[in-house]
Amino acid sequence: MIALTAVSIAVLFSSCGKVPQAEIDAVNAAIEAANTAGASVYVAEDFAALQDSMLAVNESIEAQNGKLFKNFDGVKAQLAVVSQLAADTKVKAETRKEEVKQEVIALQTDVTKLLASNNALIAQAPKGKEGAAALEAIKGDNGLVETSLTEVSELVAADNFMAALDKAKAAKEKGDAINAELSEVIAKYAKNKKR
Amino acid sequence: MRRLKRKLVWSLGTVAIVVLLVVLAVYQRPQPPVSGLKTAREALLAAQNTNAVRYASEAYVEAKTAYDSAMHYWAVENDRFILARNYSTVEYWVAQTLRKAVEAGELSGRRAASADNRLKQALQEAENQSRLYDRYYKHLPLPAAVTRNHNRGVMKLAEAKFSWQNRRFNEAEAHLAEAEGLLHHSNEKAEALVRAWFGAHSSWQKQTQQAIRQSNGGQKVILVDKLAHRCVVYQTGKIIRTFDVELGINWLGDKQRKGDKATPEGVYRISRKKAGGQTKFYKALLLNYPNDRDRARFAAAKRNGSLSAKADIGSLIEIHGMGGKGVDWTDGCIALHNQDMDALFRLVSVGTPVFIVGSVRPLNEVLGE
Repeated sequence: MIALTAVSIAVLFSSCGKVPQAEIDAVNAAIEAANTAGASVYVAEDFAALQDSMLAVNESIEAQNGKLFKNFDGVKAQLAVVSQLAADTKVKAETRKEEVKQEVIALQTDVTKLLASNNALIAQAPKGKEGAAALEAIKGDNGLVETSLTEVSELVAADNFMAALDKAKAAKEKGDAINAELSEVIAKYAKNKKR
Repeated sequence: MRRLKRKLVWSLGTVAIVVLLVVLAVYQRPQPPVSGLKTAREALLAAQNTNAVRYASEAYVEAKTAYDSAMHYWAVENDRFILARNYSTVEYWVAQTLRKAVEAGELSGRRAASADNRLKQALQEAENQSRLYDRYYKHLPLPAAVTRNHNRGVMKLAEAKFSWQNRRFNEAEAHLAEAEGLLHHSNEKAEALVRAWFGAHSSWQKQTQQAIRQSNGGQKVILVDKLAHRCVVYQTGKIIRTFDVELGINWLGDKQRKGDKATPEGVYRISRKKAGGQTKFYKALLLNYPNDRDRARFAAAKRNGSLSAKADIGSLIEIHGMGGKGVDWTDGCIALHNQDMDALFRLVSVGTPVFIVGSVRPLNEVLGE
């Protein structure tokens, strides 16, 4: 009878459910996929919330592990939610990343056009010694913008769109300033030449 | 039969008591700090949302490690016999997590605010440095390296500004440090060149006074202020006309030799008036460059090796027309707009003194000190 009681107690203490390891692994993979998609950079708060949700799942698992009668149904439901959240975060990150990428590409196009425009203005400028030195200096500035544009392309190739965006914006600002300066020099020169 | 019945009652009674005791023990067992862990985790998330990973990384890592430890010890306790579990270690790490996470959040908030303010001020200072260059040095014929450094600095400054606006303070600080270095270097170089040039200011002042004195008797005297790009005609100690002028491409500094594209500084006189087919620059007033002082200095420079033995002193320095282009473009001459040249041509004659100085204004005034 005592043996029977002991067996009953043992059965009572043994687990009645198993940790849903496959689901946990799948969710961890989904979180890693979101991170690889750039979630920690492009949607940092969403990614932090996602990581927090997974920590909450781990706590629920441990809570069940500590119970006499384990039931992981709740954990499985939580994992399904986190899995969906990971997928949503990945999509959100990809969308934001694409937006930034498109912004960089648009700026690259703008700066390329600006450089072409600046080069055309330089070509229009007086070829003689008049103004040549000033134009040489401006050509040098334009060269800096060209170099910067190359660096932007390198950052884009390295998938570093945030740094590329800053650099592209700076290049655009400088390109605009050079364009304005060139237009002013040429207009002033043309005006004074006529007088 | 009765004995068997009594034995069964005893056995059942014993089992019931054991089960009751076990149930009581299980019910009374210590509970894991579930809500404490939840609070600690939420504090960790709050710290993460204040960018603690970036601005208070040490405290944040400690908080995260404490949370991981709490989870680890909880798992360890779960592996133990249910009645032998003790969650005091877990509770300790939960408390540590909470304390460190709050500390990381507060520290990050303070550091981010401080970085924001510091960057705001530093960006403003760097902008001021850039404006200082634009105001005082941009239009000077400076070495290409100085201009290039300035422009690179301006671009880095713009990058820093954009990173700061997006609250990516670490990147902003890195860009700003580079911008500050470049801007400081270009300003410093430009200022050094201007200060060295202004070493001759006392003689420029004397020449300016001499020009005014010489005009006191009614004679017309031309004074060219290179920095101001002005040509002033004095008579009886008063300014009677002022013209804008354009100079040699490398006008910052005295003329040393032929081909340096610098406009000479010193006391000259008009040696010839040219008009019509005599000049391709509309009208021209030829100066007696090189004068005796120029020749002596040129010879000394050759002797001390600062100029090569083959160097030529140059000639044909004129005040001529075809100016008004808005840039310094001559090989060392002084160019006026044709209309202004007409006026000047009428005012002066061969022998009219021409004083060419670097600047009438003193350096402190020029640099706004």
